[in-house]
Amino acid sequence: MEKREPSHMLDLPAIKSQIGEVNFCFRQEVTSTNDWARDSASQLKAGEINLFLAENQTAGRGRGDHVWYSGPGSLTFSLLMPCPFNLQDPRRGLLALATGCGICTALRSWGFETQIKWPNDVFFRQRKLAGVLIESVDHNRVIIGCGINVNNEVSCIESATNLRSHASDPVDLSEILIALVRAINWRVSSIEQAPGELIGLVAQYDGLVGKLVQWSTGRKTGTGVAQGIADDGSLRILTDQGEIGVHSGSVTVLSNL
Amino acid sequence: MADDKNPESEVFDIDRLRNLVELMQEHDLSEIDLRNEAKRIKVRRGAEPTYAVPAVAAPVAAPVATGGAAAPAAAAAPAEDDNTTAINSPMVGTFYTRPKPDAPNFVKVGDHVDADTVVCLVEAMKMFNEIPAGISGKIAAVLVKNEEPVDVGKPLFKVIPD
Repeated sequence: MEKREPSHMLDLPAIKSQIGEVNFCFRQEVTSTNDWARDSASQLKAGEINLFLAENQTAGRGRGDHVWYSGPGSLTFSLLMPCPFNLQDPRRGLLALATGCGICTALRSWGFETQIKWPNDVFFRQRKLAGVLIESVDHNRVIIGCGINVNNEVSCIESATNLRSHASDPVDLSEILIALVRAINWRVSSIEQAPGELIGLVAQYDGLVGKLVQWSTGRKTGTGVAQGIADDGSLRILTDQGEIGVHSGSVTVLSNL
Repeated sequence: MADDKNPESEVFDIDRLRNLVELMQEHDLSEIDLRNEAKRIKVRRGAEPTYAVPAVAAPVAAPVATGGAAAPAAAAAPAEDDNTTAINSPMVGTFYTRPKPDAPNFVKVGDHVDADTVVCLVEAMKMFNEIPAGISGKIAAVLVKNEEPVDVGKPLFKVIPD
């Protein structure tokens, strides 16, 4: 068996014992933890929270046809959990931001001053550190997929960074994972009770405010200056036509103002 | 829509106007506003541009203005002009006909669906929401193109109910 680097190893018993009520499933390799969670959903109780963790993901997905690259030393996992909001509830749109907030809160407790790039990325020093992809399943559950660059090699991707590059020693994957799962679970579970607290935290972590951005929704694009996040989670952008709210698609930073 | 009153001004040259209109059509521009010192020509196509929340079934959905209250939409509602029922979008977002770029569409015209059949995805703030048909029947039409923005209440499919 191939010997693994210590910085790439996971302490599975420690993870299992420290993630509270969350059920834990582990595989060394999967195509995508989101697909694994979806395939498993019908055999799991609707009210449970399940963590699907894989050491390697061979076909991780981002939005649309984007691919999430993950290798040894990174964290790729999905949380299958009940969705507190039905399809018509606009608060449903807060789930990605809540996940991003959970990631930032956990990583900031380790000294990494991360920021949210609306709506589903986490950046550190202007580079992408983590991505989130959320999918609904069974109409009342969601799969929250997360990919975080920790000790893995990212030097071939100019726009990406990892925690290892900014720490004196390799980061303990298991400890980071436990902190992330706890923080995401808490943040998502408390949206309903404290939406204002979430929006306040998003404003604190917002990495786009004041920047010139280009938004793209399907085939439509536009530019403007990001003004912050509205209470429904949409991105407020000041354009030459006035202020608009962007609810879907993606945003690219054109320049810092 | 021009400010210049000089009849000899070449800014009103008909060929120039024709070229501008062709350019606007070619690039799907809604407005051109040219100025040269005191001379000005401003040409606009279609309705006044707006970023307000479009009415239900408006052809363009996003972006929408901040503060527009989103009324919950029924998943399925009778269409006005025939015996079909529309499956409407329950949220603002981007419409996807298939679960992944390399996968087949969830449904196609002629398919039979049940209330729980997933007919499409609508992505809102990077959450990909499976949209159920909400009705049993046969898909009569797909009303929105893949990756098109949709608003709350936008009809997505026509269904002939069982």
